[in-house]
Amino acid sequence: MADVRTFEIYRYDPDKDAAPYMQTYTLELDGSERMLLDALIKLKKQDETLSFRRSCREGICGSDGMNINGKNGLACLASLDELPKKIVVRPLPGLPVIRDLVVDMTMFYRQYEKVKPFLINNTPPPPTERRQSPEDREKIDGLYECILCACCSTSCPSFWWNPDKFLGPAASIQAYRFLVDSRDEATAERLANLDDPFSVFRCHGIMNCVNVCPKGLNPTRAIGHIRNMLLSKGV
Amino acid sequence: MGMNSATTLGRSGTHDWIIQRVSAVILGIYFIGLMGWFVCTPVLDHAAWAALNACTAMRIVNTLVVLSLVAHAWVGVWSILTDYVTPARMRNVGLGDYATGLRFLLEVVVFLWLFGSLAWGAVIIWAGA
Repeated sequence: MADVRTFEIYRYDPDKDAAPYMQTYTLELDGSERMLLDALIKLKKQDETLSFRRSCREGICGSDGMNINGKNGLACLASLDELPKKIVVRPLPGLPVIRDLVVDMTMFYRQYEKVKPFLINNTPPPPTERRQSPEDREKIDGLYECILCACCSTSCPSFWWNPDKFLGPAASIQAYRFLVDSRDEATAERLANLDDPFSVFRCHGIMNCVNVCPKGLNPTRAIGHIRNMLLSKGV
Repeated sequence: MGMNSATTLGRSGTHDWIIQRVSAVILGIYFIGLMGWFVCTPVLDHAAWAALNACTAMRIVNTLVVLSLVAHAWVGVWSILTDYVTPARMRNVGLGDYATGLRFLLEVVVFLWLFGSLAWGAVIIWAGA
């Protein structure tokens, strides 16, 4: 029997539409499509005006984050076998929509920029690379894998309410990644920049971020570690 | 980068966080203790209640509890107001331009209410001491 799926997709072109609306498409799968992204690419062949971001199509680049049947995820990792007959696709919540499923990530990147996501080390570099023990290297496991797809931050109510002040889960996990890196020398300055009522303390631990992260990371735990570092510095 | 606010109780996010946690622990222990007293007191009447609250140690404990309650409430309500009474949120109900003023007004009202509760609580706790 033919596998026919119904897609309800959020459409909005600010140049033409007065308001966003949901458009229904049907697509008969021929068996070559494995992930939602494959289906979206076929739909785009039907209707070229449908806009979404995608690049690597294998969960590495983090471009195709979207809200799939109410849960944020990557279209390229959402298996059609596990999705129902009717699939509702909306843009990532909480960020301004540029067009259809494409959102303006400026706020998200601004928070990322705030945490200075690079090694700060003013010691003259050794002739080879700056070395780490295997134990120190292990400390950044579960942190460095973040692909900045924004699924976590856009599922977080605290980020929706204060996207200009609260780092959000993605930038927080990056903040901790550099706080805990043995090669970084700016721990005190980094902590001082996070010790306000919003940056990390606006997290109320509801763990929406953990629930949606396509890489299986745990930003709530990273935020907990940052708070512990702030506490040990401050008490 | 630190985004400090003029209306927080503590000096920093960490300070507010500690105040909220410590006050929660104090309130928790107090109410568990109070439940224990209710269960263990053979004759529960006004005389027993008045005797319990008339001793100086209990007056000090009650003062600490009211202080904790007020501090806990301030950190919590401040957090709610800064989440929901913001220009972005209030734009939905047409009050975007007034959100900051409205939040400040609500903060003043909550502050006066909590300060009033603290003062009134102190008067009740220390009456007849």
